Amino acid sequence: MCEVCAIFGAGEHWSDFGRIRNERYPFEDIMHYRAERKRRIAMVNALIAPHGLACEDWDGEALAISDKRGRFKIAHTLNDLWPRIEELAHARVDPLVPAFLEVRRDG
Amino acid sequence: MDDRLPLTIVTGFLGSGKTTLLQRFLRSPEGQHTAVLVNEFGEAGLDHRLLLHAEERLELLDGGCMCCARRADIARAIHELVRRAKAGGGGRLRHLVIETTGLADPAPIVATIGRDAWMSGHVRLNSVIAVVDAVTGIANIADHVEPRRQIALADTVIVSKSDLRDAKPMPELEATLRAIAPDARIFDSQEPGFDIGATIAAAEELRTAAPVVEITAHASHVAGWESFLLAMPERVDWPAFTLWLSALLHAHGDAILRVKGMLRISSTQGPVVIHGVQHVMHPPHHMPAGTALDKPFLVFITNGVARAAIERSLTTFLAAAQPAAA
Repeated sequence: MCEVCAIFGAGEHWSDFGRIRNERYPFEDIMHYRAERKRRIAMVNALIAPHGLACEDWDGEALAISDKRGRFKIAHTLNDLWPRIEELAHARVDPLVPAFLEVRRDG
Repeated sequence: MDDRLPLTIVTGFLGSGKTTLLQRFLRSPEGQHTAVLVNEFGEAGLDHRLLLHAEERLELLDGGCMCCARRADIARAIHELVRRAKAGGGGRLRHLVIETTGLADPAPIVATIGRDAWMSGHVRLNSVIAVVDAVTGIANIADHVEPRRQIALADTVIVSKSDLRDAKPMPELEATLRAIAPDARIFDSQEPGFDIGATIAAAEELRTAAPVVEITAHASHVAGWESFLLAMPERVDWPAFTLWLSALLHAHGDAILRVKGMLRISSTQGPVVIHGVQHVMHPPHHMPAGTALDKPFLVFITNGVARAAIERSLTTFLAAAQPAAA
């Protein structure tokens, strides 16, 4: 969150720096940032929906992953997203396999 | 303005000439007000006012992945240096150099900077420099994994001892080095015009520029090691691309030694330069809106992940994301 203007939704992950020119905080175009964040969440949902999971924005600050049983995990950045999805889906995230998410045999 | 302390990592196999090179840097105008952090005192010895010694200490984080291990010694030393610099007005200390041991893997140092929010708020990675001995370098690269990893992770390679009688010719050295790090800047430290001060000072500027050589496929001399360039679309959808790359590094970061690219993205007018080491990506560098970029590209240096698999995955993922990008 920007401490000056109290705007939520300006992350510190490398993927959050798509918009800015070399400043460290992307407040110049917060609406564009939010639109891209929304589209990214839609893409995540397309990947995880077949596994019964859903991803929601958590106040623009983090991502909330839940399953159909109501279990719920928070991922602060894209780095945390994939491990949380693996935990809930009992699957391995691997973009090099056609399914992207592969169910673990031991899960 | 970016007021973070620039950090340069100097790596290189045993006896490659890291300390000698560092001595040259510290004598240059650009090397003034530099703090040096060493893990061992080399034979050449450094007589420097701001020399710190830290016992090499690796802390494995969750998952126990070696390339993401935290270098606790370095974290503590950097913390102390930044604190001192700030307490003293911050005007004197302008640069931080870490000289690794000959057998050290630079990846955990990069991970220590990139993964710690406090650290990445106070320190920026300026350059990873690998020093390669012109006499024994090629044999070392063939025989040992450490120098290969050091070169693969470097954005700049400096060849030392090329004036010695047994030195291998530069074209042979360059071909060997390019096979591991096709986009690295390669310098001969014995060239009369070589200026270590300027080379280190301009590292970020040069690293974020388009590659000076046409990057082509280089045959790797070592099984499993591959470096390749992927031509990228005219403009990539940033949400889709970041999703794909973060998943790829999550799944295969231990096998992807370095990724670098210059892209046009959906989020901004000018090209962006991205670079990452294993699991850690650094914030992208944004080029001015009018900057020319004829052929957007990604360069991968991998050990155990094939080009075809990455290319197919990227193409499929970006194509699937296209309708949303409209």
